[in-house]
Amino acid sequence: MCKVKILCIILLLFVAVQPLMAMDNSSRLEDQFKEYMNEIRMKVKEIDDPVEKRAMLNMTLKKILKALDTVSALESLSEKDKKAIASVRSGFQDKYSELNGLNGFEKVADTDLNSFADYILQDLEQARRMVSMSIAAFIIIILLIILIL
Amino acid sequence: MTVEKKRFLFSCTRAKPFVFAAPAAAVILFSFLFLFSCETQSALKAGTPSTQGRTRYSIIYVINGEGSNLYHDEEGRPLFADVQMLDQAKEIAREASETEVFIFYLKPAGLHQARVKLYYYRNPISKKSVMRYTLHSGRSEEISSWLEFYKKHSLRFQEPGVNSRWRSFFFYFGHELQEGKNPGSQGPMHLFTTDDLADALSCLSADFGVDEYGFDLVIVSACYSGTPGIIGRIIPYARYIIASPEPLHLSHISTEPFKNVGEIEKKGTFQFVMGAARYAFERLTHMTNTAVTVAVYDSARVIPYIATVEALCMPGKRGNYGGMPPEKIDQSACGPGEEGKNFTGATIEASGVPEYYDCAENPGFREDVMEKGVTVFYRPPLFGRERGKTEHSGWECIRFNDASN
Repeated sequence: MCKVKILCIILLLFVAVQPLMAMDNSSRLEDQFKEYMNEIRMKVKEIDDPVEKRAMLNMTLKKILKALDTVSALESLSEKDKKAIASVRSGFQDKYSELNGLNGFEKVADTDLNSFADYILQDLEQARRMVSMSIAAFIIIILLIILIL
Repeated sequence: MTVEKKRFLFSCTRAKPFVFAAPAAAVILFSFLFLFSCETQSALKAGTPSTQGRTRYSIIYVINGEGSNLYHDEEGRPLFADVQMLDQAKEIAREASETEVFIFYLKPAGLHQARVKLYYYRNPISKKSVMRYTLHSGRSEEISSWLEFYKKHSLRFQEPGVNSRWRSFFFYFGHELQEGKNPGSQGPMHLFTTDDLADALSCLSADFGVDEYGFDLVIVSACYSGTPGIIGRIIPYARYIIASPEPLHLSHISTEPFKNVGEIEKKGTFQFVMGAARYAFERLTHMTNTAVTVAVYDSARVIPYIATVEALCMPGKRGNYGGMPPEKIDQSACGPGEEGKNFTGATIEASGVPEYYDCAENPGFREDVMEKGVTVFYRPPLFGRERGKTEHSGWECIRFNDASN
């Protein structure tokens, strides 16, 4: 049932975003995503308790990973898109692992959580093409992430 | 494919009157300053005394506003990279003495359109002209329009016989460059590609009529600009290149040191360029926690092996990569373009997801040969898999995880 709901949302999004399939619109969505991540970063910095800081970062990263999983499960996506999404997912998975000291990563120290929040945002704010995937796939991902966040 | 020239504006810069004891003298002085600082179309055309300044430096900025340019400072304030760089370019124009500054600012205006704004400033004599036009599709007419604008205004072309004392700089700011040529109507337009960059440098260098490199320095402030493919395309036209082999934060490579560009005469070109690179590196390391890699390429020392490192990085691929010798392109590309025709340059045919890696990780990489003439300022990211990495070769290779596999 849940999967059907998600698919329905995605279908609606597909229809809704058809006129927006322009590069500059994907840039606006990317901006919106960065704004969300900046808000998270500033909230993390405002929190004193490192446990709460870590919990907030964990929650955010989990939601992003979930959104990416949802999109990559779509059968209509090309193989190239799926590989591109996997590449993006790998980056976020690494951040989640490092935050929690998993998969061979040294756990981010309590005193470094603010810097880590900066790092997550700054990694998005690079002068590179966001991903090598179709604009449609990219827009769906960003919309889903924004909706889930 | 047409370029519509919407309007050609010349703004008038009013000089500040100085305060003198005698009011009459102030009035006379004010009138004098006003007359000679006010820019008009006729002044530019007629070669009035305003064109006889001692300008010796010509800086060209290309600012590509394509894509998401939003980033945030430490306090969470939003900043836009393209606007920041435009402001900095204007600041350099105001403060650098004996310098003329051209700014080509591109902004998308739909799927197959772009708004282009061209600015020209001259210092010490305050002069500014602005041209705006809309680019509908294709690339060639755009470049030729820029060249036309440059040649029309640059003192370099208005003071015959003084070419030898000119120093030229070309700075590009934008996102990772699209390789090869633009797909035009076949796909989303990229406002500036590696071919556009190479063509602009080539055409300008040819017009300068100098024996060696047309530019003392080219800065390519974009992610992955330090690949053998990109360096290979532009190296014939630049004595030195500053680029970022790895991802680069949108706060970009600063050109702040060019406020004092005249220091190049005391320090020498190499030391000045190294100082500018070091300044950019230190600023970025202070501002960000991600990796910072600022590399300086000394063309004379890199050219002998650039084809080898290109071949190593992209074996069997056509295009910018794959051992294409760094020779100058056909100068016919500098003229007005034909309908549907792009500049020269091959298109990367590769498919799949690009993956970048330090060329030093390639077993065929030879440090003793392929790091000659490359100075790298490197700081690893404070987090992530590469946090323990201590150095970078200065060359970023690319491989494609082919989607069909």
